[in-house]
Amino acid sequence: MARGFKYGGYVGQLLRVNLTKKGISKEPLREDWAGDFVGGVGLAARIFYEEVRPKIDALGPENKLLMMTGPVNGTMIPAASRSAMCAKSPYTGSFFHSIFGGYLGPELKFAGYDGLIVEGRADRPVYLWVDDDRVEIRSAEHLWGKNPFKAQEMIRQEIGDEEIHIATIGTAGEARAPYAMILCDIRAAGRGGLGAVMGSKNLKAIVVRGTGSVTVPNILRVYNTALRINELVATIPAVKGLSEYGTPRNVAAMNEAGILPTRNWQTEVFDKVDGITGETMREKVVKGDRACFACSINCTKYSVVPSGPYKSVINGADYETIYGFGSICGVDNIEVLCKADELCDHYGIDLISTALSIAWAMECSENGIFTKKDTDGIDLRFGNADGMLEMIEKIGKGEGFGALLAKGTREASRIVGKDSIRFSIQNKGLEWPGHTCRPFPAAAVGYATGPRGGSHHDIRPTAEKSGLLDRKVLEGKGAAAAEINHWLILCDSMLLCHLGEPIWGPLRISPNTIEALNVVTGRELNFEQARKIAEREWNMIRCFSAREGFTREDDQLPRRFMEEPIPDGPMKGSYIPKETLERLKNDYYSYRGWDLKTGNPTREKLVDLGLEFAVKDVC
Amino acid sequence: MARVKVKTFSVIRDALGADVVEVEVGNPGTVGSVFDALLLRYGAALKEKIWDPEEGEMAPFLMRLNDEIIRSRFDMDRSIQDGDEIAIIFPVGGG
Repeated sequence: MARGFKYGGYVGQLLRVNLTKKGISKEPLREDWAGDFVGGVGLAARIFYEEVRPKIDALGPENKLLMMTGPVNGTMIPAASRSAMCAKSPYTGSFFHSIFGGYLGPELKFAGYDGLIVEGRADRPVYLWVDDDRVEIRSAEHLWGKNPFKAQEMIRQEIGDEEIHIATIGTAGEARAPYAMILCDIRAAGRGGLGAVMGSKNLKAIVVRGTGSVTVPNILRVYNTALRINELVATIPAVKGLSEYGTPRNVAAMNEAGILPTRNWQTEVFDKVDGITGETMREKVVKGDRACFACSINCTKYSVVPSGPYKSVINGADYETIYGFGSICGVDNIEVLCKADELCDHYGIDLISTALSIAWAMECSENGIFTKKDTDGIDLRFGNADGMLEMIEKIGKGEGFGALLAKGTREASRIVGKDSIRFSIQNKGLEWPGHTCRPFPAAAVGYATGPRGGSHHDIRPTAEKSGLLDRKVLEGKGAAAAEINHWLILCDSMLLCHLGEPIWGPLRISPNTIEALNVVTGRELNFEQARKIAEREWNMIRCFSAREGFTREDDQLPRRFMEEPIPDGPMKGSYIPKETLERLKNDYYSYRGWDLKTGNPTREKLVDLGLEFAVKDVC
Repeated sequence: MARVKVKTFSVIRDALGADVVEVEVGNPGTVGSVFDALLLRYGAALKEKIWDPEEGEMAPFLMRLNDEIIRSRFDMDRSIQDGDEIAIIFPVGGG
């Protein structure tokens, strides 16, 4: 372990960069916080609560952007190379973490830092160059206006090192577009508008080169655990299937189950699914696989459309691309989806929010709220692939009708009125991923109470979707959702990948997760102790939301899911009526020891978790 | 005998070599007997796709039995009739 630090797996040091003052400092990681919050998102939430005042402007210099690693990052344990971008989201107003895979997180640790805190605002465009101990704020005037991949190429040439790892924003982030994302090498910290936060700081890129290593207390124990987890990757059916098809393996199977969201969630069965399945994608466009640092899952596909109107080269498509630009917009051509994915990366916009915003406009058009005159002459019918691609360009540029859609569906609905909010598939402002909750009560209450809103990483519907939990039973689903929250947030603090959910979860924190944490850090946590850390982290984030003014009333689902049963297919008739959701929320808050009226943690709960300092803010 | 159509996707489809295969089981049979027949025909190539060695039992997944959604870990004793169709909704998750 790092010299003098209490636990293994950590460097024991944070890097802080103040862009306003051009200040760069290295500071010790607090051992008590590493102990109580582990790292990653949990630690970021604690730092954020301490350092950021309530109700700041998320695009102001007082917001902070944290890039966090976890103790397991950079070791040989597989499915453990994620990294977290954290900030107050300009899109949802909540503390937000957007997690990405690849190599950047481990590289930051190799450079000598457990996390990076960026604060203030540069007066001119800059990028940050972290070269082990040497850290520089460099001019990015020449990079401003460049798409993320071009900017990465220019930086690599400038520094003369192909092995560096880079997080970059596109022009949407520069323009502080509400759902701009951060491209991290080929991966995306896609959600919540954190690219806009980076843009608001005039920070074009974070560039890292690290040549150090991660030290653990007993390398043989880590080696044995890594070997065992790799064996699980190779043998657990739900994990190993990812190597062959990636996440698009879901598409056909979910359609068969009647849970493939279609035409802006009007139904969950897509009659043209054959054109966009994982099988079709592999046959037509996939050219290879790509894996994250030390990971044997190999889930990412590398796809090429070599010629024609949809010529493109992408890392993907992932399930969310296929859901968003495929079934949700009624498009059945996999080549179009590759092009749509490429365009989102080109401008640096979150593809889920982009797709759902276009689908919202399509449904508004279908209902006479928009005509072609409103939509810059583009015929926004479901299934109009070229119209969809044109609209992505307009959103990326913030031009014409695209400027409205770039605001996201909640804000666009507010502007347009005419009850168009009923077509807005979001909660807390964040558009939904392609994992339904209408037949799944634990998922429903998890989505509703999640700090980020429409995120399938605050809850996982997999337990009900695989039949591990009986979807037809309401009793106990509050508790089930809370325990799923716990394994997820502990993973997000260690920066483990949720695609390993049968290994790390899927119903509660698994012995594998605790073992990985213990062997790397040298701790001897049991289940109750690990669970308490996770509960503390979840409550910490809830305290931030409460301090910002979020209440029980904000824990909602999109109206459609509370008012419209799935109209056809095997899940026909499924939905979560408002009264059912309220009952589930009571169940969830009670299990958590939260106040039923406000939805906030109680004094007793905060004291029990060692979060007394938040009592004055939320009780 | 009951003839049952079995529909599969991605890695399980690859193990079976076709989107839809047909198996024969005793009439009346059960969902479990359909899997017995499949495992007899396709052996280890199928078993490794649906058997969880960590848990020592069938992986959890949903199935569509005609128009009804059922569960691998709880509904293997459901009876089936000649002409029934089972879709194995697996693997899902991730994304």
